[in-house]
Amino acid sequence: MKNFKKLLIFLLIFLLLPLYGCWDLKEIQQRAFIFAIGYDKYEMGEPLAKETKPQQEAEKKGEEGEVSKAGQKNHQIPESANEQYRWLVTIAFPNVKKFGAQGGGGGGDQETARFVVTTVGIRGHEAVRELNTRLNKFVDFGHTQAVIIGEEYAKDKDLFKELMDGLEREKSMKRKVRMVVVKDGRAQDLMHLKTIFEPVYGSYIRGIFSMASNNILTPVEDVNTILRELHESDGNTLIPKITYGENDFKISGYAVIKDYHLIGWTEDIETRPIRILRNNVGAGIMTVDVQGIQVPFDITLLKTSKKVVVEGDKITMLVKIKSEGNIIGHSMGIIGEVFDTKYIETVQKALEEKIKKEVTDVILKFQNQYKVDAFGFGDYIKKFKPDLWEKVKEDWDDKGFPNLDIRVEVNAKIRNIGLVR
Amino acid sequence: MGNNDKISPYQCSVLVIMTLIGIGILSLSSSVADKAGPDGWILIIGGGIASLISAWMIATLCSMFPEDTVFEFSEKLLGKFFSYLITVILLIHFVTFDAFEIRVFGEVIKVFLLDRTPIEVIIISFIITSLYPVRHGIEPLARLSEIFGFTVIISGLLLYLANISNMDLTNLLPFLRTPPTKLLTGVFATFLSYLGYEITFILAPHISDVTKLRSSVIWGVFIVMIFYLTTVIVLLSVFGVIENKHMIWPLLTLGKMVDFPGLFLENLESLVMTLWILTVFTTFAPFLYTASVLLAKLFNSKEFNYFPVALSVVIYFLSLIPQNVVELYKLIDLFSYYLGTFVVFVIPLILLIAAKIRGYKMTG
Amino acid sequence: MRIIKRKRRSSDQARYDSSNQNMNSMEIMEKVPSEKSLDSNLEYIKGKLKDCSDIVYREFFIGEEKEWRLILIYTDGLVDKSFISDFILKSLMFKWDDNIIKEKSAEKIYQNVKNKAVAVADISEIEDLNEALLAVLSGDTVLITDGTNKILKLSTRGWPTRGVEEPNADVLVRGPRDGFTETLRFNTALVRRRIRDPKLKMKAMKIGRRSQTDVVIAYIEDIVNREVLQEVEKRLNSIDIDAVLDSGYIEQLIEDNWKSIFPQVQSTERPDKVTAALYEGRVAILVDNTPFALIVPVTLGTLFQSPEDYYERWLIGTLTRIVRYGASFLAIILPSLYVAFTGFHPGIMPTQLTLFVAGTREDLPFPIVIEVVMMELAFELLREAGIRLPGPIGEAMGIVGGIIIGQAAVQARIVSPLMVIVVATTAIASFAIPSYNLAIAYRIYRFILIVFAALLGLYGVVLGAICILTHLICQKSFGIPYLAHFITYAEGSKKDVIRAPMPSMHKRPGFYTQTNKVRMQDKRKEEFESIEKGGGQDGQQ
Repeated sequence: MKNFKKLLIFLLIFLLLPLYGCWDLKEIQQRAFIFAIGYDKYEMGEPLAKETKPQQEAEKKGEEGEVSKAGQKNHQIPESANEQYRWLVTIAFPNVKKFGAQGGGGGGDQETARFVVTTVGIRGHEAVRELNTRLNKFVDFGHTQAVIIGEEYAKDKDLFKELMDGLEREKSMKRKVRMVVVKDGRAQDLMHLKTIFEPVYGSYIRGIFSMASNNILTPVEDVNTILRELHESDGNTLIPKITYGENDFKISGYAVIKDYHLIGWTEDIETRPIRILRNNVGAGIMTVDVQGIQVPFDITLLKTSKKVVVEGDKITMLVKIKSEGNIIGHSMGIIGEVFDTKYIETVQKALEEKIKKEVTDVILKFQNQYKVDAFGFGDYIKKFKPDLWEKVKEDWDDKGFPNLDIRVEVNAKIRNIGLVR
Repeated sequence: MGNNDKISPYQCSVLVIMTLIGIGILSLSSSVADKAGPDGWILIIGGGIASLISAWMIATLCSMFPEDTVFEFSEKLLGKFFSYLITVILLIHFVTFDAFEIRVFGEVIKVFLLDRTPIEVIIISFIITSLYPVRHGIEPLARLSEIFGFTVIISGLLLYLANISNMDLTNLLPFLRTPPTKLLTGVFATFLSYLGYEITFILAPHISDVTKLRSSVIWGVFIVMIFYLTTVIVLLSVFGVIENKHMIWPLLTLGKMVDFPGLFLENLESLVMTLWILTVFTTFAPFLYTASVLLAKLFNSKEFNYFPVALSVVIYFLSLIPQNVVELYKLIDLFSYYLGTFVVFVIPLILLIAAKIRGYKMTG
Repeated sequence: MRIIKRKRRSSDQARYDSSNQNMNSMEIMEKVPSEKSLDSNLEYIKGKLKDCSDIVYREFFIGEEKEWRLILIYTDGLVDKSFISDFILKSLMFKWDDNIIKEKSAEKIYQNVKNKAVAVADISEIEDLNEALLAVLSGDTVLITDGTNKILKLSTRGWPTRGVEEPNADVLVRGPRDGFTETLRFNTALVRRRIRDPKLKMKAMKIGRRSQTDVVIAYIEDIVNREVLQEVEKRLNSIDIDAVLDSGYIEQLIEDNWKSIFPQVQSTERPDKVTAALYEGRVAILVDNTPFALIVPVTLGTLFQSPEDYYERWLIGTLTRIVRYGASFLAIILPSLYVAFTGFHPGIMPTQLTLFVAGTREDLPFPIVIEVVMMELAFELLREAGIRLPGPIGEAMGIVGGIIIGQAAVQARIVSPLMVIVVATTAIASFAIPSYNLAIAYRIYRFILIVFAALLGLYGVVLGAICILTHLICQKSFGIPYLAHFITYAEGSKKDVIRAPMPSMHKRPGFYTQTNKVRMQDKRKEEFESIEKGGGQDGQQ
């Protein structure tokens, strides 16, 4: 009996052997690891614009063959009588041949470092999957580094909600993926750019974000934070903004999202006070005008805390900002002036004024123009003064928040001044 | 099977700990966030206290009968009919929860690890692997729990530590805004996670020192409570209340959050999955063993080896009954509210009262 | 004449009574009493040893007139002939006292020979012809005196043997360099030297019907685990085989589970390992004709120990142990993890690594699993080939061959370089395991895990690991659980996983024996503890 059972188990395993790889085993080189994925709004009937450069050039030379006919440009759109496509998805994945040992024999210069492919669909999921009518690899999201959203797309409420849910539900995507919104442009165009620094976009974008600890003008948020804010406030958040030029792009400033769609932008410089208010500043430089000299201040520490004071019906929020840093520049010819307690105090004062002004300005802007509480004031009240929150939570962004009286107090300290007096 | 099929009190504790920590832990923070928002962690404590009481009852009961499993001593207390009835109920309890356990396990594996593999394969391979130690008695299970327990708990704590920078403890505020009635009913939601110590019903003959039975079981449940508490607090702080409610398996998503590219650590979720497979194993196998023992007693059989196999087949088919994940969890809630509560509260209470009336005392 | 029937019954008893501690219980030869007539004895022996050209019959006479006939029988090649010449023949052939000769008593002659004439250090008296035969075949010399049935057995063993050298398989940096040889008596001497305690017992027995191989069970009486000892004796006594060529035969015949891949008996060439084991309460089995001694029982933790861990200071020992554990983990699981991660879950690996792997695998002809299996088999081939080739060529062949073939395969774009690295690392890791048998076990499990990984990815690997662990947990070696080091079994279990400092090693590991646990008093421990508690310290030792 025992032997029979063992035989049975052996047979079972034996029968299973030929099935190996029929389930989940996929050769790793058969996967296309998407590093960056871009979403744009699509109207039925639009032609899909650019392909990769080689095809464009071939066209310019007026060559016959696969690419010259204008009508065939649209062959990338899945033919259908009834389907209404709304999403335009662009994916960029690296050419792994370039990453193998010895760079691959014949790889060389002719191979592009990455591939960019565009497709359309009703929703991103089937669009990406149906790419396999053109692509000979499995699309894999496990290493996605960046999600790029076009401006028009972000303005559309339904599309935006769909995207956010997709990101959350998707089991293979990392939560630390970076998300950016393209200003004045489409994600597709951005992704077709050839940048001077690094060809692989996902890493490039992610790399820029990792610089956020070093400078104060780069936003820090990742998908996790964005999703959380969207849930907590039911539709409001800030998403980092990206703009592109001929051969590079810049990530600075934010797209303001209210009620699940884009309503406006913030300036690059405003990133500074926004980060200060959200209390995630690492380092950065601010320049203040002190008695005619523009003195740069290298921030080493910046902490923000909030407090709420209730007097009867009046709610006042106190924002306390504490900062430390160094003076890293002055003007030549004036010896010893910086090395003076009075001067230091003057600089500190000027700093405090400037920070206070910037912060207050940005708060007012968000209160009056955007009507979005992006700084966690409501959150704070909800957590620390829940009874108060019960009273004011109704329509917080439109009613409670704009009427909030917010006072800013800044305390800046200068620690050292460099090598000379 | 071995002639020395005894486990030490320490091993008993570890066995209890690992049996308790199973599929419940994955969705724990989600259900408590749903029931009580930021006060969800209080539900954990509540569930823990309730479980401690129940475990205390069961362990006390079992310590009174050092050589008997529940089958024997319930007969002594309430007569043959009731002992059969109780054993059958317990059997159903263990078998159904085993089926749930493995079904949820299969679903999660499919989502996170093996997309296209048929769930039957996952389930069958798991059952076959469990049959191996189960047929050798309680000792291998206890030893496996020892080895796995150490790994799992340490790694779990490390995972939580790695996420410290993502934690925002203010997510646990506002404090105590949930009405007490909601808190009380919410405690039931934690029951699934705390199920498992009822294997004590058959442990008395196997422990080397019966006087320590009760203390080791209680310690086990207590440590689990602490662990669950830590888990829930971490998850609530990292994701916040609303997201926790939204996610089905928040603990696994925690693995996605760890990202130290410089330290070679990225998507830790697969590591979390590995640990979790071990945890489910140490929940599934003891339940299977207990059920087999009970079945063997019912049939008054000395030959133990056929019963685990027979039960495995039953469990396999049961596990495939729910059509989808949603139905699955609804069934789980149903069963743990009614059957679970009955088994861990009502049955021990009745038996304990009967024992007190008849004047049995705890050994030692 | 022989009285067969009666004697057979008694020897039957001896054979099947397993509690018979008689060392000759392995013998199935009957007892054949010797006769007084030298000729009839000689006829019997010559009859049995017909056609054995290496047996020498040295007949000689005592007395001027050749009154007394004696004969020496020995096997040429197994005896120290010069010894026989110098100490037996010479002393027997000098002038005898006429009185004794004149007495005409064979018995007296015999007693004289035994007590005064033969200057041999080890003699015994036998009256059984089969025993005499065995003695001759074992290298002793047998002296038959005409007129008496008492036969003298003289110990004259001396055969060609290797000197005591450093063992090949068990090399250390620090520690004694003597190793066992093929002669049992030398081996027992090497052990006896290290344990000058009368409690060290060496029970002898002969195993193997035809080989009659000498086997010695060594143990320290008041430390040893009685149950294990009994079990060992019982199992050894129940061996019924015609020949024991190496201790490996015995190992396979007494182990708990022949189906398991893991070794349940430890074998070593080092006397210091044997001695250490004896001090722990274990039992050693020394076998003639092989330098490999067996030690039972054994646990997985013990297989990871090397004596060097204890000769060096504890920190080094600990670190080396950790490296070993890591190596063994790698050795068994690395290729399957490679398959699982690359094929099933590339999302786990860091991004750069993923791209690298994908890049190296572009355009390769074989899928992952085939590649892994191919490379593993290639390494196995190389290993086998390396063993067969003589001397230094063999070792070099293994390594160099591996590198060259690996390199060539990569350049020919048949396999990916990462694959070669993985397989090479695995191979090297398996060399770090002190016990050779264990390393072999790993090879097989590695393949099993690769299959699991190919079917079910990481899930399969975990399931496979659970299976292996369960197997290990259920495994017992002579009653001691195989994983005793790592789980709670008895006091002191977990202390030896990583080498603890000397002061805390004052008790023997509890799972091997329960008696006589204290082995060391170290004043430093008390000093250490009093420093911790007190603070002020008077002696500056």
